Amino acid sequence: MSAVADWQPRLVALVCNWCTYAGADMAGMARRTQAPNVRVVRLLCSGRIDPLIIVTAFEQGADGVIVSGCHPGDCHYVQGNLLARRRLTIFSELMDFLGLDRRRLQLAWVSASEGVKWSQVVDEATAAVREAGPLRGFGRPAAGAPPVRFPERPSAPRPAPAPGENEATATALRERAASLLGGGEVAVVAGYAAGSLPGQMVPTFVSDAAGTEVLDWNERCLANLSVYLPELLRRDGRVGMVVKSCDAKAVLGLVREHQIDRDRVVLIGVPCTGVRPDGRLAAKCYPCAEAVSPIADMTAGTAPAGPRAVAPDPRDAEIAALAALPADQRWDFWQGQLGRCLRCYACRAVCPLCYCETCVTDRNRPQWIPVSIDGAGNTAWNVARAMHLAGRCGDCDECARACPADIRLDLVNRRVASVLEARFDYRPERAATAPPPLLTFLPTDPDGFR
Amino acid sequence: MSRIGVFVCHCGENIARRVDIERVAGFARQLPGVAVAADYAYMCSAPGQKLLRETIASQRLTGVVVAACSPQLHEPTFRGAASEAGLNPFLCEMANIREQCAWVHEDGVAATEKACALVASAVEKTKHDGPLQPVEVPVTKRALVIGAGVAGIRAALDIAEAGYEVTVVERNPSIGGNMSRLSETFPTLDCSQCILTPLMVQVSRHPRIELLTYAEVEEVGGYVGNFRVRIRKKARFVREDLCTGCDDCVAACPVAVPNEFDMSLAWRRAIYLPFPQAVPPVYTLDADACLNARLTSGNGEYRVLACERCAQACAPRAIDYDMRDQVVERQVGAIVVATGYELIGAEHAAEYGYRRHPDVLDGLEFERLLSASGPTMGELRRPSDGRVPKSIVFIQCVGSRDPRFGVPYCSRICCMYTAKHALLYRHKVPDGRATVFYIDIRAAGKGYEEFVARVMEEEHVVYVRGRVSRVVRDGDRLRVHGVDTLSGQALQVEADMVVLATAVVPQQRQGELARKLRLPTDSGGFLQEAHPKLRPVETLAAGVFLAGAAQGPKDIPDTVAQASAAGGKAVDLLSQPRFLREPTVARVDQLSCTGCFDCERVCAYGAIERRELHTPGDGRLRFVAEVNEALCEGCGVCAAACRARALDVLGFADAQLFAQLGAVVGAAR
Amino acid sequence: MDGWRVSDEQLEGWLVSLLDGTRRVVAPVAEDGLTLFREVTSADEIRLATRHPRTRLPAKETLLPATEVLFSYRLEAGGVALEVPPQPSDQVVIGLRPCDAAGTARLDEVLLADSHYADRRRRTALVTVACTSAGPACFCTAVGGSPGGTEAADLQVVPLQGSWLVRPLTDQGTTLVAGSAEGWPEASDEDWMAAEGQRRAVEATITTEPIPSEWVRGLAERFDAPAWQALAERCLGCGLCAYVCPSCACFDISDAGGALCGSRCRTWDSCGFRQFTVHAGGYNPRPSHLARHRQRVLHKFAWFPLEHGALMCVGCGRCVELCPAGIDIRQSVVRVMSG
Repeated sequence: MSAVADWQPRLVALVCNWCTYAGADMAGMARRTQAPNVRVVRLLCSGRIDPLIIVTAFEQGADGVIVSGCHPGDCHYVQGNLLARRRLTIFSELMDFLGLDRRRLQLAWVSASEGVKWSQVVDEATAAVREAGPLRGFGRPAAGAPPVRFPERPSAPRPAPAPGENEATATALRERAASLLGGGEVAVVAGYAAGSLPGQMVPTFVSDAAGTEVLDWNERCLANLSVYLPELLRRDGRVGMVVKSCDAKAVLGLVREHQIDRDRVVLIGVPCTGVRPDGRLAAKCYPCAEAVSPIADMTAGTAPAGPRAVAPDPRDAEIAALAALPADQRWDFWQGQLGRCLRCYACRAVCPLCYCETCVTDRNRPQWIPVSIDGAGNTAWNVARAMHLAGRCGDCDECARACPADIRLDLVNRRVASVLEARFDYRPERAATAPPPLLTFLPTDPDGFR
Repeated sequence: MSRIGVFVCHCGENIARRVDIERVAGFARQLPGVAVAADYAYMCSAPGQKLLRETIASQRLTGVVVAACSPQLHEPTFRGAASEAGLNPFLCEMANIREQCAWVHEDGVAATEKACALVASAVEKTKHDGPLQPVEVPVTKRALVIGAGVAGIRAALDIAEAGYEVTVVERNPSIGGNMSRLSETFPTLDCSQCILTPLMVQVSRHPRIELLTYAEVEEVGGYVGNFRVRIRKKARFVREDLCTGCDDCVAACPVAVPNEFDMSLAWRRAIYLPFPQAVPPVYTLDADACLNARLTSGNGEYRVLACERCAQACAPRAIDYDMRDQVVERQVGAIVVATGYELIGAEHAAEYGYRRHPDVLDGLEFERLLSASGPTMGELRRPSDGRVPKSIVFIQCVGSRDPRFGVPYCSRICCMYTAKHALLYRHKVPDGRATVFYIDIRAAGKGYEEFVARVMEEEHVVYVRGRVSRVVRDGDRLRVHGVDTLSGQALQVEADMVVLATAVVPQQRQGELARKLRLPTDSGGFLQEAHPKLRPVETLAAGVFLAGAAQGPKDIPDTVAQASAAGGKAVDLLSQPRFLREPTVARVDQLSCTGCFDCERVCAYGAIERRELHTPGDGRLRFVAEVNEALCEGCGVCAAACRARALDVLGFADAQLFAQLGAVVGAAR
Repeated sequence: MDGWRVSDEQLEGWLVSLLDGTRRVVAPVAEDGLTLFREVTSADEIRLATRHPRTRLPAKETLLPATEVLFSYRLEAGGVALEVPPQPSDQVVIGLRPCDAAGTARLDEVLLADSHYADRRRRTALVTVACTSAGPACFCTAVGGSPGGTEAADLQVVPLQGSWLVRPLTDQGTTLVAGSAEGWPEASDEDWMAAEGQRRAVEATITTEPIPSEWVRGLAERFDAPAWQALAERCLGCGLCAYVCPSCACFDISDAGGALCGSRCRTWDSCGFRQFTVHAGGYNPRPSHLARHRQRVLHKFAWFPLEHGALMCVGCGRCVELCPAGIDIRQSVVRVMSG
């Protein structure tokens, strides 16, 4: 790169045809002089903008991106900008969390008559990006970036279950499964059995009552079995599944998205005190108040009576610690994390809601996600994953568990979920009744657009 | 390999003054896929277009980029020229180096650099362009008109007169709408019935008009040119083909209920004709009120009586208690929505005593009292005691222009009809005192201002500029507390009757219909036109047009004008053998579609359909999305919602966006 | 003379001498609670302690980068400029476990014919550290390896009773210690015997039965065994097993970029992915988890040994430990042979 003094910020503006593009023309007709750094790409509607297009702009070399469309209520296509508003709000919060300087992503409503406003948007965005400097590269930061110190996790709000408790549940579970299979209500039961490593519990599929002996239950039954549901239903028609309350939200999601027929699934709820990978209570279990999923069709054993001890999700304190850092330190942290991504797609494979026939990362005309296993490709993939799960994630944390590089995908998901809750009053358990929050809108949605 | 021609326009000095045209052309020339780059003083001129056409032919170009002004200005020009030279018009793109470059930058070097980037972007987009053909939609030569007030009647007659079949659906037993309730009309004081009734009869007799009264639109499927409409014909328990309109049944009926047509100021029987001039002149048996045991009432009450007096009285045996609702289906090419208005509910006028004092009326109720065919046969008498009111206070803007308790907009007709009411009152009760409370007088129509002036000056109507705070009962009279904002004085007016000019709002169930038609509504609930100025009768649903107060409050002349406009638009559509739509629509790669139907959730046009697909390989049967090109507007909201990117938009495809991004941020490096 | 017995200080002195800037040094370091191979610039980053766990991921990236740009291009005035990446520099990879080094030997079998790999491989020295304990998923002894194995190593370091045995195994290994070894005490026969004893003790803790050599043909003949069905049932189709494997060598080549600039690059690929074998016309010869899991097992335990003589699995156990579905390749082999 040439000397910093010669550096000129490069900005891309993704604008709608009907309002902002016409507004930019209006600026021209009024000869409103403006910075020459912005390159306009015209789309028909701001609602057409997949955030990955913005990621691509950055990856291709843009230092800043402007997104602009019609004012809310004025959309040429009725509601495109209102959907865009939600999607871009989540995206911009996600990118902020990943350490992208907020100045680099500018959102503005500009009508066809607002030539003056458009020229101001161009000038101010250019000035802001100039101030922010050239976009820092994607990829692992050079050694020397200080590690992020996360707060100590407080002790678990609940003790590990006594061995007898697990055994009682397991016995009831085996009975339930045997009766479902014996009575022909289901053709297969998905549950857990001991794996080949010490203490390991793995998914298992039992097709006859006799085989139910292998079924077991304890706090190391980590996997979310919902991921197997679509395939099992295709194969076997009717399926019984052992379900923890965290896993059940994925079932709701699969039903909502027409991937499974709820009537052909029997959910066997297990009284769960929380899973304990490595002996420690998983973070997602701290605030969980539901011993048995409320959508379970039956319970193996008996659910404990009365409310149980819960504690704040320790990930929230970790997210707060990250959020308190300057953006460039967050960028370093996440580029360090994402730099380890192997693109093995274990996160995708274990996610019950990643069921696409062809994943966007496998599409190559155009190449939505760079194939390169490096900063740019890994960032694009992980942003895509997070955005695609936004408002759909059931918070089972399977992606983070599966990641062989221990990338904190759980923090990314949790951050997105908390923005969804704060801005759009959405929580994963609403999947039973509410539409996916990025596929709907309120005219009164909060708005970070200028 | 692409062979793209790039044409850089000087636009006289407009572009050339800032942008180094030769550099831009030179830059374009060395871009991969560019066969030729030329420049010309005015590309849009006849010689410029000729250059374009000749180069396409001589260089066997596969695509064209014109770097000139905004595509919003000349894209049709250059696409037309390309088309004339045998190139598909959608293989021609523009780089906007005038409005968005030369005109807004002072630094020539930076402007030239930007122009190069914009040209590279357009070239990359063109490389990924495919030839597109307009979407052709066959057109069914029949229109549906929903609502048969004056708007629906006018639109139906205009379409039928132009030679097309029309089905008119009216919810009430008779056509005529609110206009048939009115006494006389401003500013000419024609009798409303006198001018409307001939049209009503014309509609009922027209050979190309099918009139379905006492019927409602239940479901609308299909798309422009090809709507499938299911219409519920409610059972009226009287056979239209046998009823002679003799009125014997009414005489026999023992049940009396308030007559909706008279705004419940009079009674009717359970079997009734809403008003004497009703069209069709066929009686209707109100199932909710009738005592016959065989009728299924809407409110599901259990009936013990088995009254059959009307059937016994009916000589032609037209009464059929076993009649049931009937659903008919019609194929239509165009739809005119003319569902009209109603007045805002009483809860918005509580402080004026509405619904608490019988002598506080709204505008339509007062119209019925004035009407020669009304409950008092046109004699003005108080509902409470039948006395002739010697003083009436008219209050304008009740609910209108009141964002806090009513609606924010102006209802447009109240100033005029209040003036008319005051005038008619003074004519009927020459010694009566008329006082009007108003905020402003809005009389912006032909002859309107003169009419109001006449009412004020010649009819001795007292206009008080100010608000009324409340209306209280004082013995058998009413006392109106108000304030004259011109003098700043509080004042009280004694009145025998108070008439409220309540706000005009859409028909209560219009929202339901809007959803069936997938029409957006504005904040007031009125149907949203496609463009407030340039497309006032069209909607965003192609093939659906608006007429009358369904779109916003308006008076009769405006309603009729819009109805004729909507009729004209419908005729325009029906007259085409095929309807041509922009081909920039969404398309599904069905093998990649996973069937989550998130696209369906975000599509404002209902253009996503479900289709079964056998997955190649494993033969799985699954549902995938399909775009109905006749409905799709090409916004691409579905594409953004599609995680698998199975949806794309022709002409603005993902591959094009990516190539453009690579060009605009890569070119200047 | 086999080698030396050195103290912590002497070993560190040697590590410091390697970091003289003439080569790239890659060694296990701590990162976010993981131990991973990274290029190091100072000796105190290196985690060579005797009981550090096996690195989470193998050192495969040092020879077969996850992404390698083969060439890039850029449109410039006057034409297209091609750019090829610079020649690789000398590197030494320190701290490989014997299984990881054995994995490199398998990579060599497949990839030495490729100039990009060969260039890098020729300039790379491998320094292994013998294992003093085995993890729960370790099974090197079942596939012909050993906690003290030296396959593919240029130099071996054996942690022994608070000091280190250093043994060069190739000329390259000898060169690596050339400057430092003067003055190092030679290791005694007793030292080597103690190391041998230590090796046997670790081996004794690995309970996986060795895979009999006749199973190679046996597996090949059981391509259609019914047992495959149940084995692949849990598989979710990710590429994790191949990506954490020190011996998996599959890659894909793709072009990125557009008309103005771009590159051709080689990236890792995994037979676990459905897209791995999809043909241009849409046909997929391995359309199911069954077919893909069977391919992975048979490639490692039948096809590769039939071609190259050695199993393509080195028993590091990473895939067993990290598979999110809990699939154990050892069980797959045993069940197919016994089912």
